[in-house]
Amino acid sequence: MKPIDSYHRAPWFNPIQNDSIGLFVRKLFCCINAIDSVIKRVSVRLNLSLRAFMTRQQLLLIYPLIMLMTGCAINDKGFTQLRHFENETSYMTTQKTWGGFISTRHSDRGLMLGHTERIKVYPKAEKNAQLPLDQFLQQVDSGNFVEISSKEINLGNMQPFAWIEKNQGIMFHANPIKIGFSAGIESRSVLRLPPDFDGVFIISGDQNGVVKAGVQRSLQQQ
Amino acid sequence: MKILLLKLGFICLLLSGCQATHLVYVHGTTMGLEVAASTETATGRLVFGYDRETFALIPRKKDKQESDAMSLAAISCIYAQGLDDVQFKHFVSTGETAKNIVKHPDTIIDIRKSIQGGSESCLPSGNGAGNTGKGKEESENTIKKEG
Repeated sequence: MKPIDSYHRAPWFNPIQNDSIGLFVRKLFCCINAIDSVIKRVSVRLNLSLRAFMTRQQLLLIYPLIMLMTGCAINDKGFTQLRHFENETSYMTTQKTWGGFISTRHSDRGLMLGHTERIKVYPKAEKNAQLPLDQFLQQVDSGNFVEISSKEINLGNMQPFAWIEKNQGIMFHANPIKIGFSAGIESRSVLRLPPDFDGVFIISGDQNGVVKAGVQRSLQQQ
Repeated sequence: MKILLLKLGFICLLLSGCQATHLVYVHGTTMGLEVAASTETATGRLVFGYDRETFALIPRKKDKQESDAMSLAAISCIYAQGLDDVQFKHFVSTGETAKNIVKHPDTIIDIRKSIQGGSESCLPSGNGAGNTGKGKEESENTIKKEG
């Protein structure tokens, strides 16, 4: 087996000979190395300072507390703030997470370390009354979302028609919109409607973060 | 090396075989490092710095007897200033509803006015038309696709 260093000197790894692959791999290595060294430095310093003052039993208590402070959540369980809302035709969920967050939901499947915010809009399963277009537009404009208890709805495996996400930190995405790695800040608004949907979907978000949405399966002919 | 090439080949094969299965509209901003691919768009990208992207995908129909893509009438208005202030308005109609809407051009104008709060401009109130300063981006799209 070759030593690791020989791979670093391999010709295909040279950015001069192969710009795209070389740059891509090198940048990724630099980033991972940098993050890894920061984590190591912090953990070494934390270890040294804690060991100077505490016994092993005290450390066993302190470590879980640090873990709690950094936070961890899986979907709607753990250190996350999840709220549910509804209007006449749709449901909305807002979620804020600090620390580690794993999502297994189809729309935003992935692992995030940092701060994440999610707003998702789901259509209601039941078919609402057919309205003419102008009435439906009025309904959406005046129909604000009202907060409800999580026990009142079961979104189950429903897929959102739209979602807005803001992530800060390190993200590993594995969802249909994105598969890959991100580090930094990202914001995204996505509409994703199934091909068999026949109707109208309206969504708007203003500068204060107020979201309005409406789903109408079919419109009344005018 | 061989394993790496095999993996890359497999990923390329997976991506090239993918087609849009849903109607998709994405507006996203990235600041930092991103190495990503998408099964929906069958594209890969590497970003180091700042990037903003907006794209829409209309799925093809398997049965191409009547048309090759799904029927769609949509109006989208995105106003973005920096990373935090993103305002958006979307009206998306599909299927028979979209076909009925595009038959009446006046209806589209009414819808546009309505979702923009009675205004002719996509810009939010308090920002006059043409006041697109540095760092601001306005994107207005009207898609009419009758299948």
